[in-house]
Amino acid sequence: MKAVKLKGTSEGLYLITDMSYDKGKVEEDLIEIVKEAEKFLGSSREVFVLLENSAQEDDDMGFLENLLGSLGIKINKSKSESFGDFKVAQEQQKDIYTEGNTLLIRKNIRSGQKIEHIGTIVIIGDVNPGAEIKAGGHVIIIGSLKGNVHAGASGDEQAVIYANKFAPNIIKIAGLIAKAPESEKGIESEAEIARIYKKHIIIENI
Amino acid sequence: MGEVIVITSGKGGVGKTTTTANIGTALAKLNHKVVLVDTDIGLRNLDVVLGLENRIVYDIVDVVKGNCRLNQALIKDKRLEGLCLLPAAQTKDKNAISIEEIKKLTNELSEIFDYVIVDCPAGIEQGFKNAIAGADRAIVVATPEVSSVRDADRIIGLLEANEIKETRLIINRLRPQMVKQGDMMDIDDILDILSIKLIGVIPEDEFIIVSTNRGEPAVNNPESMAGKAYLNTARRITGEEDVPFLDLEVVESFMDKILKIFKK
Repeated sequence: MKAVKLKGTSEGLYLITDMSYDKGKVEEDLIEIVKEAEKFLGSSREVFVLLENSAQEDDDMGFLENLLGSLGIKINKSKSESFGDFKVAQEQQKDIYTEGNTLLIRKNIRSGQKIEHIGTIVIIGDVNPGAEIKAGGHVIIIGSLKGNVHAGASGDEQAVIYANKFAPNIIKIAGLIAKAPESEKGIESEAEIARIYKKHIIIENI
Repeated sequence: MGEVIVITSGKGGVGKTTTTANIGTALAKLNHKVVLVDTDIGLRNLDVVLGLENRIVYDIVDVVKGNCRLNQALIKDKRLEGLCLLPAAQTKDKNAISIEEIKKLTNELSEIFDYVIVDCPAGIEQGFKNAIAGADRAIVVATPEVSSVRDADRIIGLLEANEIKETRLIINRLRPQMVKQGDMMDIDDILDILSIKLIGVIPEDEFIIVSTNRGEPAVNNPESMAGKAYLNTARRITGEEDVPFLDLEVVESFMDKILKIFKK
């Protein structure tokens, strides 16, 4: 059992830390998880911190702040709160929830909104032009895709992007990027899947 | 306790102020007590559209800063009982009032009036944040253009994030003739992208320009198609169900008639 977990939500990354473990174990797990998520963290390098079973929240928060600081990560204090509140907030907000490593969203993602998650993202709804999706794993859209998507953001070349109506502007899988062909405007889009094949992104009918 | 409704769009020039003036006038015509609040500080023009600019003494900033009493700043429309305007300040900017101040103000107004209609400035900065702060409901105005719909989509996302419980859409300046020819986005295209409920469709109407210049809202003119559409929209806002959407075919045949006259 790990003392530290990283969860992605529509607001950003949450670092959930169980303080019932001793600090050595917390430090070890934290360094490991940050290393794994290195590529995913990208340039923003900011997380929300949630403390579980913490006796002295101020002390523990200070300890984590120092530790994360040494790894070059900032804590966003605006939403850092106790894990209990987080759970309640997640339950109230039933259109977004995590199931294992998957973030499930039941609403439209609109222009200017950004969804980030370290695992797979499943969206039941549309991704509109100007919206951004970034996932460590696959991105499955049960709806139409017109925004930008980055799958396999932590370097996973096996990641795929699927949409019922596939009409994105730009897609990225791991380190590769593909742009919509300009001539295809106006053609009725259909269910398609994008994946990497021989170092190129290919898009095929399902 | 009245309701606070913000009228917003993101993009400028789609008809927020015209919509505010007409919806407000229409609600007052339906015998509700209505106050129109202009939050476009520094670029006020709701007073002009309503024809009340000569009567401004105090404005919204004076009220929130305590320079005058609320009653002193409210301008009563002499043509229509139950309609008031709280004008914006022209010599200040959007930072002159804070979110807390506007929340308190709209709360106070909602105790006096049945409907508090807030005219939101264009953009998504401080002015927008102020305008939506005290709102219970929002009405997003969009024209059938890709740029307007894109901005409306952004705005709807921001309204959702600010937990405004009900957001409705007005499609403004629709030209049925152009839609028929396939030169303009139709209502279904727009609803497909925005996926929110429609509360009004306002056809393009030259009379709006005349009415804006005269300071006489179009709903006061029974001949104006846009005026009729605004009146229907206002009835839907009051919760009246089964208000039919205007048969825009009528508008077409009317336009066709004009075209025919020109062809002769």
